[in-house]
Amino acid sequence: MDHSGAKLLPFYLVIDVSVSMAGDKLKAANNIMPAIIDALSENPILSDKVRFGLIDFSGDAQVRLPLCDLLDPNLSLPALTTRGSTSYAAAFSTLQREIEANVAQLKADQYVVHRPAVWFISDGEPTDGEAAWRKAYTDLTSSKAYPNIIPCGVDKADLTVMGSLIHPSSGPKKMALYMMEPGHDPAKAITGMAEILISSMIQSGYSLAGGSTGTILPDPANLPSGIKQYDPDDFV
Amino acid sequence: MTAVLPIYLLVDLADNDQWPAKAGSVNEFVRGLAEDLGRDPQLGGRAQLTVVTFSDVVTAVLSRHPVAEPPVLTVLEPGGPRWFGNALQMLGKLMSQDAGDGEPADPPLVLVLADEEPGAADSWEPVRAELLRSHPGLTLGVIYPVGGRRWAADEHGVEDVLPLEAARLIVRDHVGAPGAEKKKEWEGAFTPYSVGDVGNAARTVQPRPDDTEWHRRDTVLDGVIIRDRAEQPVLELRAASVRGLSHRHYGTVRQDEYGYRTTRDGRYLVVAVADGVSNSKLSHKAAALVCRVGSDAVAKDLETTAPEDLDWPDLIAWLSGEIVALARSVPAPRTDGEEPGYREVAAVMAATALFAVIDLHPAGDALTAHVFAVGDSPAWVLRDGTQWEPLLEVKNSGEGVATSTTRALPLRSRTAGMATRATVRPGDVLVLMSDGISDPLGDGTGSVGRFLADAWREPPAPLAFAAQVDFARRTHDDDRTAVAIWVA
Repeated sequence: MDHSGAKLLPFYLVIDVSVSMAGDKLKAANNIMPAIIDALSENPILSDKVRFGLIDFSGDAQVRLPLCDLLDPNLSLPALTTRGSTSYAAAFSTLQREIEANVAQLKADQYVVHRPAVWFISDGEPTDGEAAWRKAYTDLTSSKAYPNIIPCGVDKADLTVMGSLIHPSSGPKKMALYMMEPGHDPAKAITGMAEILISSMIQSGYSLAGGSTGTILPDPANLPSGIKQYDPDDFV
Repeated sequence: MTAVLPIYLLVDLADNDQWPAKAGSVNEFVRGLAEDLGRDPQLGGRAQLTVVTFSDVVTAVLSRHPVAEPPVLTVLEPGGPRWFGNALQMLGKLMSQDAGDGEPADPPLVLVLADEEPGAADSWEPVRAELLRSHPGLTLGVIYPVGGRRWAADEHGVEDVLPLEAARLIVRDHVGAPGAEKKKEWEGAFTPYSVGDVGNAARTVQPRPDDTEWHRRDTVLDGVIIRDRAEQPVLELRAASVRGLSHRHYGTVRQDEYGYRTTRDGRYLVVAVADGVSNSKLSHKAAALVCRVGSDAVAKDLETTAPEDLDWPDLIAWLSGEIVALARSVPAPRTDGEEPGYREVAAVMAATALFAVIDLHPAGDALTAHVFAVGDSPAWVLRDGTQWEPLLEVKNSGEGVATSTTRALPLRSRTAGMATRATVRPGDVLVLMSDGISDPLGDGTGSVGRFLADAWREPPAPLAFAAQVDFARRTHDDDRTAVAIWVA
């Protein structure tokens, strides 16, 4: 198909569905995609350019929605359910495979593909060995089509571990981490993170219309309550 | 065998203050219409009347009744809220069924008796469009019943007449005056251009003005024939600069610009195209300066210098200085009392620059064009109406993900820019454009390339040229500018 010069912004939502996510957190997680669809419906300039993919992970990682146009009338959204443990290695390696395949396909179709943004949501520490998941993470971030990674942690997610997932972690295009503040409702925090994602998507799309590239993050002063932003410099 | 004329009457029975008198007046209308048609020598033997009532339910109360006989009418009762979309859909099914029985039939006529316009949630428009598509020649007329109001589906301009008289006029329009060809008072139509998938934005964006710049136009265009000193046509020029969907949606001015003029002695045509850098708020001023001041400066230089000897880097440096001077004259809050430097100006107003000097003295049957560009506003030649040939390097043709850095004025460095020369023959088209067009054009071998080659084989009418530049295609929402030149 001939898509010369058509611009594309790929987004991936990578979400923890380990057993601890059951209940209200899972409900909040299942509401993320419909909220994104609503936002895109009101933003026609942006929605033509955005493609969304959904990956869930526990002991393994599965592509629940391959990168697609969320406003496609034939689309049916998958319902997330919980299973097993929490393997970050599985998440990163599945994500890397997906991104590389998607970007290669889109470029073959002559799209102009902008750097993908990955929103990584977890509610606890990884259950797999650190060496394994750090390697999978490094492979992901050193790939030519490496994504911008914005980690989001709720409940028992570890601050330092999550902080180490921010990518890029330095320079003018560095990203940030969003953490639920201790004592807050994790389900509400997940909903809040979805709002941050949507706000970022809209601002990035607006900025793309103005000729710049890159993932724009909203003003830290305007975050939903119960969520704190951490910059890579906050971690030594 | 004479063709049947199917007439469908769609009657709104939604409950309102027209009842109970409405039952009587509707039936009277139906009886009157059948009588009228029955008496008509042309239609009496072949018109068939179907009456479908609707509110929230849709019911056929009379089916394919030959108008020569008086119709038997049921007692009508008011129903629930009206849904036009649903009613039109059901009617469509009925009409297709009727058409499917193989009898020769004229295109159908649908008369709607409605009290009120469809509500905002009533999605009748796509259904109507589908009806018009599946029944070519269909006429859909709306008549006010007692005390009704007009709504947008009515194409007949029938006002202030009794319902039966309105019906007569609509039937007559549909069937045509006996014997004679209907004489048209006017001609013409407009269909917007699109290439491939149009995308959501093209379908839904409603343009907003930029309330910080009321006096800058959304679209500008030109179409002229340039002649030599002996008044012989040398070339035809079409130009258009169109605000893109993105700027229309966000309410930002058009940031592209073009300009053209001949030198005073009529020897050369100078053309300029400039693309204002998007995330700088006043870039349209830089683009306008490049085109207006720049083409005047080139024309002046050509009085003493041959085009192949023009000092382009010098011109660009001078134009950059002019842009900075313009920026300094625009009031802006500064806390340190210093004048803005080049980089600060570039953050507020910057534009690419593309110039062409066309020698109006032909070399054989061809013209020579000298082209110079800073930034991503490319120049192409459409050879023989089929092959797109880029005159300068095509952008973003490498690996990895895309970036959007572009060179633009004001520039300090004197080495920016590329110069080239091209020969343009009869049958070729020289096109200078902004990247709003060259991005979708790609390398010229795709559907956009084929569309533009077809549209620009010969110089189109100027307004058509502008409409072609404004073609809809998903994600391509940047401002677009093109100046096209055909050898006469």
